[in-house]
Amino acid sequence: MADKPSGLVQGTLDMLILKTLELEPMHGYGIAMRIEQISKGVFQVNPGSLFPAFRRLERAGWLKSEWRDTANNRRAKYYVLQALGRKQLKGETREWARQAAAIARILEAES
Amino acid sequence: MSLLRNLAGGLRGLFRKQQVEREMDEELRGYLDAAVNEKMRRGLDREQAVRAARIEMGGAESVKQRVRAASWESLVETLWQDLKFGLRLLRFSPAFEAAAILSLALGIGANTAIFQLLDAIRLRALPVKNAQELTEVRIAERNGATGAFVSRYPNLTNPMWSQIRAQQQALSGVFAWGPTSFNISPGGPVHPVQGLWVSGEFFGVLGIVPERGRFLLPEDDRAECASPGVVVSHAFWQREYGGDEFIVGRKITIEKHPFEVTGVAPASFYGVEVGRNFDVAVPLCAEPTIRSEFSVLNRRDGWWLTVMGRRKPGWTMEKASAHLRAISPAIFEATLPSEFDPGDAKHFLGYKLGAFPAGTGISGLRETYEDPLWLMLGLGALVLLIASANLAT
Repeated sequence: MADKPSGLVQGTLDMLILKTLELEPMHGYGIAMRIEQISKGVFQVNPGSLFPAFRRLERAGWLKSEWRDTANNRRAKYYVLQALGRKQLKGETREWARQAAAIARILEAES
Repeated sequence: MSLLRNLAGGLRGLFRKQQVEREMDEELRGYLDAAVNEKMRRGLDREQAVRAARIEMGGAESVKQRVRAASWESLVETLWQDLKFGLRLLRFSPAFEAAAILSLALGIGANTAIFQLLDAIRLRALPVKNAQELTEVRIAERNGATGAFVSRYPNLTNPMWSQIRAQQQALSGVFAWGPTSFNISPGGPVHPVQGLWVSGEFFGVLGIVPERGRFLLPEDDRAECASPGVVVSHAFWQREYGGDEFIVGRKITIEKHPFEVTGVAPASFYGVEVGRNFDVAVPLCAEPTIRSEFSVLNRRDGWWLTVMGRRKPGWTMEKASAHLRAISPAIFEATLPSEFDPGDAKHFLGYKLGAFPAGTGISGLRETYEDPLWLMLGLGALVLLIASANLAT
């Protein structure tokens, strides 16, 4: 079993989680599904990386967690994006775009 | 902020471990259930869905392990577990355990004991204000002096002391003292106590405040010595007089001569000699009365005094030494014993005074034992280190 989600650049999982939570609070499985769906199955996030990432982000103050009832009446831990996390996401997105553009330029350059 | 939160979260993880674990279990169970539901919705039957979800998750325990590893408190936990494991191992080999504890105890004990000795004789400053200013004035390299040596620290003679007091500029205040032993019994069996010859400046320059009465002043130490008073230590006052309220003014017999007590020193002041407590301080001028025909007060070859003082602000030890060296020829010229033969006289006139730090007091023990003690401390530390290394492997 791969430790990292397939093809996911190290450190980007945090960004994806924050981005996913930008719309609304979600529970762990919901987040995994959303990432998988939006990436059209390119990224499959396994719990072994997901939950440690939650713990890390929570400690950093970017996320908050709370127990809520789900649609089918079960209790689940929901993660809520915090103001600090929103700021972090903005910064990371900008940085990512910059780097991606730079890489694209390098790859497209005629040699 | 985030550091605080991290700390708080970690502490919660440590102390409310069960709750944190329970929540994690519940969360993972919820994740699995959701995954199973999702797979059933896609058409798998329940058994297949559960198996697929389990495979995807890859073992709840390993996930939990990785979540725990993501936080600092897991370090503490690991440490604690190692400690418990170590203690359990020790139980199985009591002989090793005994040897380990014994060698550590010995090593630590030896180091502590040696350090306490060193601290007492070398490191601790005298209990007076600005002890670092205290400076001793003595002959820098005095070998082969001639005369009568009548104290534990026979550094200088009284005529030299007078000359130094009159001529030196480096010290803002200067005093002389010498240790001795007095018999304070009026008659019958001898009752020896620790005595201190002090010049009139002694207490003033040290800056000590009397607990009772007043201390000796320069006026009490004049050549005529009209009414010599004495100062007693706090311990002596308590021991010999039971802390008598009216101690000031009482008469005390020293070598069969009555002296009036003028004051009591505070309990914290034991003198300037480390490891010895003075009982009675007597002005230098009373020396001929007490020692009668053995008096060295006016003898130019009578060595019995130690001279100390406070360095003036801005005067380093080197500067003070240089100054004292410069005034030395005049001082030794003026105090040359007339009976010296030419050889002794030449030697005597070659003496040079110097300034030496005295903030930690004067100690005969120090001169004899300081270096061996440092060596022992080093050895003790080394032994402790070796013992620890041995135990660790």
